[in-house]
Amino acid sequence: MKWLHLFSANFRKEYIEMKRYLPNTIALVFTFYIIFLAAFFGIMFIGDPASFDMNVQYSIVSVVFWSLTMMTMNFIGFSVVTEATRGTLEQIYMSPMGVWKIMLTRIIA
Amino acid sequence: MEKIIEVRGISKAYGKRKMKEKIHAVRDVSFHVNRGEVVGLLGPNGAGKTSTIKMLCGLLESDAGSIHINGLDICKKRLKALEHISAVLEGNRNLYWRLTVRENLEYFAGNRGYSRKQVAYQADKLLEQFNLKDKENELVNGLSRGMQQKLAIAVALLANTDVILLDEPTLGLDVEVSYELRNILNRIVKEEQRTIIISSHDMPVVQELCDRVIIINKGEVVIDDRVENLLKLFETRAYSMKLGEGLSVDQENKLLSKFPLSTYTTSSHETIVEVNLEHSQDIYELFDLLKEEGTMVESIDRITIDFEQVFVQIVKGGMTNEMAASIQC
Repeated sequence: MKWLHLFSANFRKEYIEMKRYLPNTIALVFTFYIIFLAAFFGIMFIGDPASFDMNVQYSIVSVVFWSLTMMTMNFIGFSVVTEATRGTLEQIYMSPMGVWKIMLTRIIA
Repeated sequence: MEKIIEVRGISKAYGKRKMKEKIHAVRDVSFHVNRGEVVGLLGPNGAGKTSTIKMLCGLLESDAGSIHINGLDICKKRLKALEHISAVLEGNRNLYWRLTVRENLEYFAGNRGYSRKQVAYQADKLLEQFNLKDKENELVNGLSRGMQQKLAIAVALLANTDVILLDEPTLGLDVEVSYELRNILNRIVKEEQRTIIISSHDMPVVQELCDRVIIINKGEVVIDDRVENLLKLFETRAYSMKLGEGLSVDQENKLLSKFPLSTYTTSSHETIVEVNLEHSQDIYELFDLLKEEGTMVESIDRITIDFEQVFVQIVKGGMTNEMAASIQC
């Protein structure tokens, strides 16, 4: 049950902050979309027209996975640095739930 | 009394870049805190207070010794021990500035595994206690420093732990907010019987709230005693007398020879004599001296010593527990 409350608190915080930092969120989604378009049109110009459909499928999957991996890694590093700058990292370290559980719930959220 | 915190011989040294020798911030510090006690952890800047507090809440690992919170070793059973302790470190920096007052309370409670429903009543109560009810939906970013500080303490209290560590709770606050915060803390101490450790340079806060003080200097505990004992230890028999007229040369000479620590100041509108008596009965000799030439005494005030002066005398005078005990005997 504690896990659920921890997840709910972190999900809510992430959602609220996404809403309050709206330009950041829009910029993030826009960047993701631009990268996706660049990959898609890049294949049209560079790739072999005979295997175009297969290339598109592979590139969509790889772009999505690559973005998710990058975002997850960036998120952890960025989150730790931001928390340390804000001064809230110590409070997170002091949670009896454990810092890794908090970070995990944030990544999922 | 039940010991809720037991610190045995902790030490901490920090390595310095390009230097082989380490800087010893804390050396063989031992003390205990009983349940329900309010203890002040004092010391000059760089004395080792913050390192001690960070070791107490598991943010730093000690090089030697042990810390037990409610019987749990903070190094071996860190997460279990953290269920019994919460802290406000660096005050208003412990909050999320883009969340509202209530959202901060709920978020930190959630991080300890509590649901919003579970803490709703307690959060309302704390918002009332800290006069933040009308600000509950405002972003922390827009609050004054005093309000942020109050919220940080409310967050620590909402964790519902046995022990609360407050590092400089009144730092940077104006006199009015500092006074308000002191009153709120005083009320909490009396009503909730929590164990609180306060590290502060604000001596009126320490004198009003703390039962006992532990003074750390150069990484070592120099004094561990009750506040009233320390005040008694440095109590003086000093009086300030406002006289109707100035003293004659003869009286002045006699005054300075009988009471070498006295001061005599005279101006066009008042004459003040301050004397520090060795024995209470010496005051009769002073009256005799004034009576000789019929000098009128307009008022007599006892000069009382506050905890700030006691602290300065302990730190500057290099007093230790042993010296204090021998004086008390």
